[in-house]
Amino acid sequence: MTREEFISGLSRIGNVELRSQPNGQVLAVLSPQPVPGTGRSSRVAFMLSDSVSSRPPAYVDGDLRTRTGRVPNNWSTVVVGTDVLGTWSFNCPWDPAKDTPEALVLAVLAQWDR
Amino acid sequence: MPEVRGTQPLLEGLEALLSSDREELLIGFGHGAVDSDWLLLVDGCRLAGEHEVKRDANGLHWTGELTSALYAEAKSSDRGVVLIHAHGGQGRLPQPSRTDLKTADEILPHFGMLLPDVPHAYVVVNRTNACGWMQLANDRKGVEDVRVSTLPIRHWPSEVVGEPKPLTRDDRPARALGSRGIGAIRRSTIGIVGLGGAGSQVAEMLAHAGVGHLILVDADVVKEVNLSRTHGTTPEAIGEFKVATAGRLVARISPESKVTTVEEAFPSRSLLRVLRDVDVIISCVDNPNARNEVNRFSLRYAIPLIDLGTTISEEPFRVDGHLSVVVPGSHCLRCLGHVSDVILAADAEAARGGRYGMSEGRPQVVSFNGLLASAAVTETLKLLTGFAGNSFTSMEWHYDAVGGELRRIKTADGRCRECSWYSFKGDGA
Repeated sequence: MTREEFISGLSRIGNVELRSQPNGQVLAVLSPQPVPGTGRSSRVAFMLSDSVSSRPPAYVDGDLRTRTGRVPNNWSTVVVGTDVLGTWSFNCPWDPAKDTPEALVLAVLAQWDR
Repeated sequence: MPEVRGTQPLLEGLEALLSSDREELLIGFGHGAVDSDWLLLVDGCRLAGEHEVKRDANGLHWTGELTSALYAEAKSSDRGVVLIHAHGGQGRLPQPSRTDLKTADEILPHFGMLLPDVPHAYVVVNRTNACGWMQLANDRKGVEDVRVSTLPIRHWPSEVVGEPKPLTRDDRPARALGSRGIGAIRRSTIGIVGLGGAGSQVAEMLAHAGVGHLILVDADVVKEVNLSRTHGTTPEAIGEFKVATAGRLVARISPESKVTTVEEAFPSRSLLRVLRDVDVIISCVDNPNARNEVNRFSLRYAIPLIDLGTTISEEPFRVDGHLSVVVPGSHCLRCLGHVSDVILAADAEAARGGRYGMSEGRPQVVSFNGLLASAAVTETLKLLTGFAGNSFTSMEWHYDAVGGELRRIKTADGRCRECSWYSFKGDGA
C-alpha cells in the first residue's frame, strides 16, 4: 500500500492533516474520532513512510486514558506542533495487503476501551 | 509576553545597528509561536540594502520595492517579518518617532493581512531597551522583550530595569558577579525537568544562587529508594510529588524566589506553555524519549538547554557522566550523540520486554550526580551573567568518576538533520 492510498483511506473517516517530519516521513493526523467506552474523542495519527509495508506507528491524544484512568506500560508522548500525542506498542495483526486503514483506526481506538 | 527572540544572527544585526554612525534598518524573518503569548523566532536577518531604501538629510525612508521584497521572502518561507532600527541612548526606553509610528501603522496591518498566520513586528532599540509592536492578523500588542539566546543571554526589555535591591545574602556572589550579574540571576526563569538525584541538587543550588523563578517539572512521587540520592527528601516525604519536596526546599532557602511546580511528565500540553519563555532549561531526565523531546523543544523555541546524566556500568566498574550546554543555533543533543534512533529504539525495546525503559532500576550514587549538578549550575550562571565571556557554540564535558576526571570534549563537526529541521520553528514543527 502506498502512503497516498493509506491517507486516502483515512480521509474516508474524517479530515486528515499531513505534517512533514525531518526523516522524510509524514505524520497523518486524523480528526477526532469517538473512543469506545471512554465518552470522549481522540485524534489518531500514523507515521508514514513512502510505502506502507507493515503496521505504521500509531498515535492518539497525549491526555487519552483508558476507562480505568491508565495508559499502556510503554506509553510515551511526543510533541507535534503545539499538541502532544502519545504512542505505545500494541499487538495488532494488521496487514496492508489485506486490511484497510479504516480498520487500523478502529483497532487503535479499541485499545483504550479497557 | 510578546517577544522577539533570536540567536547569533540577530545579535550581530543588532550590534551592527547600534554601532553604525548612520540610520540603518535591520530586516529579520522568523517563524511564530502564538499558542499563548506571541513569539517571533528570528532565524535570519540582514541590514536593508542601499537599493531597498532611500536616504536623505532626514535619514532613511521606506520604499514600495522594500515592501514587495519583504512580502515575497516571507511568503516563500511562511515566516513573519521583523523590522528593527536603533535610536541612541541607554538606561531608558527608546522613544519611537512620528515616522516610526506612521510606518508601523502602515506596515504591520499590511503584513498582518497578507500573512495572517505568523506574527510580524516593528521594533526600536537602544543599547539597553526596546519598544515596538507585534501584529498577528488584525490584532496588535506591544513588544515586551527582545531576547538573544546566546551565551550569555541578552535581553532588551520594554521597561527600564533598575539595579536589584541589595540583599545581604547576595554580598559574596555580588563580589564575583557584580550587581548586574545578581540582577540577571534574580530576573531569570529557569526550568528544571526531572527532580531526581541530579535535578534536586540543581534546584537546591539555584535557590542558593537566588534565581528569580524556578519551574520544577516531574511527575514522580518520592519513594524510599530516592532517599539515597534526592536532595531534600526525608522519610516523611515518601509519597508526595518530588516537585513538592523540591519546591519546599527552594522556598526555605530563597523566600524571594518564585517557584512553580508541575506534576506532569515532559512533554505535556500545559508544560509546552509553561516552559516556552524560560531563560534556560536544565534537563535531568532519565529516559531517552524525554531527552529527545526536551531537545526538540529547546530547538524549536531557541532556549539554551543544559543536559546532564550519569551511567554506572559494571565489569569493569565505570561511572561515566556527561554535561552538555546546547546553545541555540549550534549543536543539539542529537548532534552530540545523547539522542539517537538507536538509543530510542533500545529504550522502546526494553519497554516491550516488560521493563519501564532503560533507566528503570539503574544503579545511582548521590555524589556522582553532585559534580555534574554543580557544573550545570555554573554553566547556567554563565548563561545568565556572562562572567565567562561570549560563545555561540554548544559545549560538552565528559565525567569519569573512577578516574577522577571532568574534561571538556570536542563537539561534533556537523549538525544533524533533525536539529536543522526543528530549530526556530516555534509552533510549526
